[in-house]
Amino acid sequence: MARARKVELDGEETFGRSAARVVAVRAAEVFEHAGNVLDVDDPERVHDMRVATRRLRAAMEVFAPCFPRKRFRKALKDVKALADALGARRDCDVEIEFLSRFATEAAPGDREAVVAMVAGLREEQTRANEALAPAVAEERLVKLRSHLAKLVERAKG
Amino acid sequence: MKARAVAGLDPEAPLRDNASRIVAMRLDCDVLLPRAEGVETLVTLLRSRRELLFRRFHDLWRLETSKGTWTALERVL
Repeated sequence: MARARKVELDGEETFGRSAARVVAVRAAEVFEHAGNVLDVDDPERVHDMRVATRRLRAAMEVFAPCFPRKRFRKALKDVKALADALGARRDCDVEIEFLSRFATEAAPGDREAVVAMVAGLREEQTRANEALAPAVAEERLVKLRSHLAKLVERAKG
Repeated sequence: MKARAVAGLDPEAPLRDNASRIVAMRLDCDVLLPRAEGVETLVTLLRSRRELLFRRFHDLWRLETSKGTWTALERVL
């Protein structure tokens, strides 16, 4: 899992400027992890982007009073939707990993059943990936990035 | 559980004042305090629990095998 970048803060700086600084970094981290996120052979990509999205959401909620309410609600809703889509894919990845590991320890007679369960989960994973695709499409991410950049500018005051 | 809103936050006031307000709200809450105290051991606890659940699932599978559950299921399917 990718580590969160450290944000230098000054206790004397205004809450609004601190909000701009933190949210700008956390937002950038989300987009940095957007590459190859639909690649099911590399589950770490979706995991990293999901974690980055959760960190962004947490930061936005902490600094909520620093942003224009309507614009903030819209951006937070979009971030939540992205997090949900990433979460649905991630759940499948985790279950597949768990059962694949279990299959290696299962008795030979059981292995076939476990492998069948994994196959079912892979179909679910494909569906989750199809649902995720529009949420991480270039156009959608550019729009979200723009909304977040405007929020950051407003928070600077 | 939804976090309680922190009243009186001011975007124009220093971060320090706002942060102390937020932290005070989060820690004075009697529901959250036991959780905050347990944060250091949380990772270890979750890891152990994950292992335990995996082990239980494994044991359950073996038990059901010995009871013939899977064979019975295959028959009805």
